[in-house]
Amino acid sequence: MNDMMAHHYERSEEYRRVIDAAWGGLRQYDALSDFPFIPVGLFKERELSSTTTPSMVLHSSGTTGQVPSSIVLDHETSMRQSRALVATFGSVLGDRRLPFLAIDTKDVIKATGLTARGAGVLGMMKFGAKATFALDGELEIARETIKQFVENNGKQPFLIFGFTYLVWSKLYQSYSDGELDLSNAILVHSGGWKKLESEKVSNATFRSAFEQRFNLRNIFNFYGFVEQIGSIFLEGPDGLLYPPNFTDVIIRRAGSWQPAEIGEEGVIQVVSLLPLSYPGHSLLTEDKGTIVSVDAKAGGRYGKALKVAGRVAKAELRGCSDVIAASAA
Amino acid sequence: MKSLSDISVFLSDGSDQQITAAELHAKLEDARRHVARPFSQERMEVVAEISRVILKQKAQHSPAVMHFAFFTRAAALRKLASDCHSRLPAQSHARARGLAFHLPPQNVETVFLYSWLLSYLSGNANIVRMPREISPEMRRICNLFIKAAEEAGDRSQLFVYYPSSASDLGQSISAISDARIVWGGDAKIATFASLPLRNGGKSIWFGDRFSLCLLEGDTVLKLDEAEKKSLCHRLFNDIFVFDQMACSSPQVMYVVGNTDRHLEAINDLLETLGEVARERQESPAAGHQIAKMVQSFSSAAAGQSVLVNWRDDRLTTMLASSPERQDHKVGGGFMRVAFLEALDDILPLLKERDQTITYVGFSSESISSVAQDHLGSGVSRWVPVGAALDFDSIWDGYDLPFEFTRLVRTQ
Repeated sequence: MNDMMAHHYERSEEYRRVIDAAWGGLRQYDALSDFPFIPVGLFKERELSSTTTPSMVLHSSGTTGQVPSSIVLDHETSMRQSRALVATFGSVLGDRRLPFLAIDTKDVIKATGLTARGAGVLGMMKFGAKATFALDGELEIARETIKQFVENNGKQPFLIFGFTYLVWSKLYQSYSDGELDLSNAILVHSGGWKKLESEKVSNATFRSAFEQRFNLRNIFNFYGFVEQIGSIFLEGPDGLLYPPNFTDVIIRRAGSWQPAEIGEEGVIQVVSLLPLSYPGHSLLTEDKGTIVSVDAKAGGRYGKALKVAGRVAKAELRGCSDVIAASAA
Repeated sequence: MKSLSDISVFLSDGSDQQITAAELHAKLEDARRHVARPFSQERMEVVAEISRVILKQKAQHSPAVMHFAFFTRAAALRKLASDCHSRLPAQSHARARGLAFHLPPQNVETVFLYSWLLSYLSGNANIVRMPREISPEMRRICNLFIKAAEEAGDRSQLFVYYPSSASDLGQSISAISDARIVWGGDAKIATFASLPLRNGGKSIWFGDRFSLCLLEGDTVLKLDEAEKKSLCHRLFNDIFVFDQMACSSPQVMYVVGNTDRHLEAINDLLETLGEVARERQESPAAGHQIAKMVQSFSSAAAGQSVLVNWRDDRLTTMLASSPERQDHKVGGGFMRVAFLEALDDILPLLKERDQTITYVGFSSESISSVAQDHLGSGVSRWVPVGAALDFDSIWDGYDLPFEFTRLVRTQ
């Protein structure tokens, strides 16, 4: 990590200024939790680059209409990210490219204004073949398309991918128990539980509901974000999220920003050895989470087991500048 | 079509009466005919009595309401009345304009009190479109006025709420109003700009504003512990009340001096300000702490700040790399600090939308002199630190009692 710090400090003038102004300059750090971090939101404000040979700038927003993040990629970082994703998903998908059913519309991967959802679908398409989109332009379920897909591919393992809420509200809620057989499917989903929690659907409820309705048991939730593509926290058999080898997680207490205890909820910081083209190696997210255990070895997994609890609370500031009332003429 | 419940009229017992648009218009036509003499004994007495009630209940009230009560003490009202009277040109008489339509901001809830009060004292009938949510404290004060007006048989004061969806109400109320006071935000002003008033009546606009703070470096250097603490309490009132989002909340601190001589003392002052904020208010939401981190880190990345202190959850500060303006309105305890060699150096930096400059360490003479040297647009108030949010009858360049009346000449 000290090498990563020096790498970005030397190559990105903007990052160097941040480290100098906010972290008292570069030094050698001993503990992982001592390394400077920057908030992910900084990538919405500035295009931070540590490469002289950028191959593309990924613009991606959480949802349509939000300010997009700008992530500078070069060939090497793209390769590192791809290899990381292959290593992570290979463990559950195997080596072959499986038939791929996206619980989304094909409009989500349009070239301009890519959302995090679109970036996720695009990323997962690399692991699938015969990509099929289960939703139409209005995000309604395309029953005939799904029927065809399952008839053609349902006898062998195949991949279903989608945003957690869409998978629940569009796929699960559109069928009755036993109506569709997805027993050979491997369902990979991501995007957060906020909406589902408001409907009292926990991860455990989600899993047992899919098993009962579709006989679908291979389900993997994951946590990741566009500012750190490749560092995917994949769900283990205990329902917790595990980082890959080259990634680590620190939970910090809001306010003091000191590391929290194991079992204590705080703000998630993700440290990764992947990004060389932009200073994304130590990022403070806007998500809350808890490290539930370390090296508990559930299903043979080592490392920190993470539980994600959604976004941190936003402040509603008062003020005379009255945007809400603008429509009140 | 509008349902009955679209318009709520506030009643003195704290309940709301639902009326139709036609009923509201009938009330307003009636109200217009019941104007009073500016600064009439009756209206001054109504206001002064409520001030007495609030001052007696001191312990129950917030500082913002206490300021309002001081502002409306009998003696203060008499002074305001005589000031206004003495400003009248010879052979001129002030008369109420008629019906005034007030659109206070949704979130700085004391504003409506002053806006309404000065128009009421000027003799007008008034309709105030209240914010969607007001605190129980504000509602109680509102009730006191409604009750006093009821008891005086005055039907000309209306406090109403209607939802944004009832958008044609803004238009129809404007059409029967003689004056309209729009507070808050350029977008809101733009919405109302196209809606005509009765007979081309008087429009008063309060748009987006930005405010600054000026410190004299040597003064800060010489503060003892008690003085420093006292100054920090005044700075706290200016910065943290209304989440630093009022138009007159300072967003940038200019220190007259230099970093070699004064930076340490300024950092020490800001540290104490953070401590005062910790004593007086809760930690902001984690999301806002992160938002302040993002903005300050971004400023550093752009080379606009050379030192960022983001570790204090209440107050994030940035030392600017130059005095050039880089305006941030992040709010919730976010302060940019820059140094100036001399007081006059502030002048070329001032902008059209600047409103209030709070100061500490300068004599009122030197402030008056620099204010007089400023010929450009912008800046309508220079007040000591601690008074940023203290409402004044002359606000944003308007002499409000004057604006709320019309002049009658007799020769």
